[in-house]
Amino acid sequence: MPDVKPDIKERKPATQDESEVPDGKVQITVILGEQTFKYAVKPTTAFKKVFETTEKQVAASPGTLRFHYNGQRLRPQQTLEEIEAELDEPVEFHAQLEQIGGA
Amino acid sequence: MYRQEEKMKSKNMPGKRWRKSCNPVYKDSIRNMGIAILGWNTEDDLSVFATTRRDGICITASDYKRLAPGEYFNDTLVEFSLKEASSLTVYFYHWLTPMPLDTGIKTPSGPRTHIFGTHFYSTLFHWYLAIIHRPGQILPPSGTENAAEQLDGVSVAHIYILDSLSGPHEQTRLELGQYLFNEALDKNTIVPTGVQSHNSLLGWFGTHIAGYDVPVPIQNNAIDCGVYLIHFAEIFLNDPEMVASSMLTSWFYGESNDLLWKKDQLKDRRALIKQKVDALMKNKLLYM
Repeated sequence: MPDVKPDIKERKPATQDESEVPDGKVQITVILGEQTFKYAVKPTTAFKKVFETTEKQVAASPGTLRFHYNGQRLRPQQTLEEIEAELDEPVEFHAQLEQIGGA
Repeated sequence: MYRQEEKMKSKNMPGKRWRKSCNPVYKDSIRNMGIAILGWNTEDDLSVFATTRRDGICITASDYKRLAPGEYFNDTLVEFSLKEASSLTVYFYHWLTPMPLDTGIKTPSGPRTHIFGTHFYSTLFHWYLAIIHRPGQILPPSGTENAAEQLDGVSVAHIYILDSLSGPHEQTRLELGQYLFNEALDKNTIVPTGVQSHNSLLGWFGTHIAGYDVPVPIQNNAIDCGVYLIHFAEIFLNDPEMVASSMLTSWFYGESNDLLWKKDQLKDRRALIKQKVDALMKNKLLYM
């Protein structure tokens, strides 16, 4: 399979360039404190996937991160289509850890 | 009865895959608790509820458990309760503080008479409520172009801090004042003069903002600050103008106005919040 090798080489720069998003997908940037995570998702993909991946990346327990888009709290079952995200602008989700308080 | 509910719900369910993977034992125990199961998280066996509103909040089983006496509240429960009272967001302050001075903050448009924020001390596990009353006072009245003239104006925006464990909050007021300053910059009512010095900021605060640590009922345990916060916010929202002027009076006298804050209702407050969630679930106002 001599064709495979050049293929991989060509793909590498494409994945490094973050502005390259596969057709039909939208780039989401998740901002958690000073960290940012970028994902390419379909407009019909539930955010659950994004939430879980981010939680895994920062080693947070499932369900302990909160995600907001334009000040609106996001639910795991929502999609970009459902929240009518403005796709002309960069889509940024702000994440933060669960807060527990009483004292 | 339950079957009927099930039918209705299935339309809103995210997919068959979810229902198939439900753990039947856990499902039954939740059913016995009188909660309609509307969704299921395959990963961690949490039931998930949310209001039908687009900005509705998910209440998971782990959130729900926090409604029991002796449990700490979490941000979801606080946000849920404040949303019920008004469309407020508890994360306001969290977004506010990391903003550098020269950043214009975009806030939702539309007329507003007050802005809420809760501040959370992660080290102390404590919340308190901050209210900016009449934030619009920092802006000159429409029709006046010369902002400098407005500096003589007597009306100011008021920042009230309500803390069920008491304590001064100078730093919080300064940060909120800085937010208002950025708002004024963003709305072009102040001409930015290069780097704003600390002194010029304080000067601006002095003419545009008045801050108060309002005496309120003090919590009698180390658990209920979230409950107290929700209670105070709801009372304020019932009649903002009346409560604002009463807060000024009690600040002046340095005493909590227990009648205003309905101190006798505080002990049942947690149970009331739980009842509200239960009622929403039973009335099928929560869906996946």
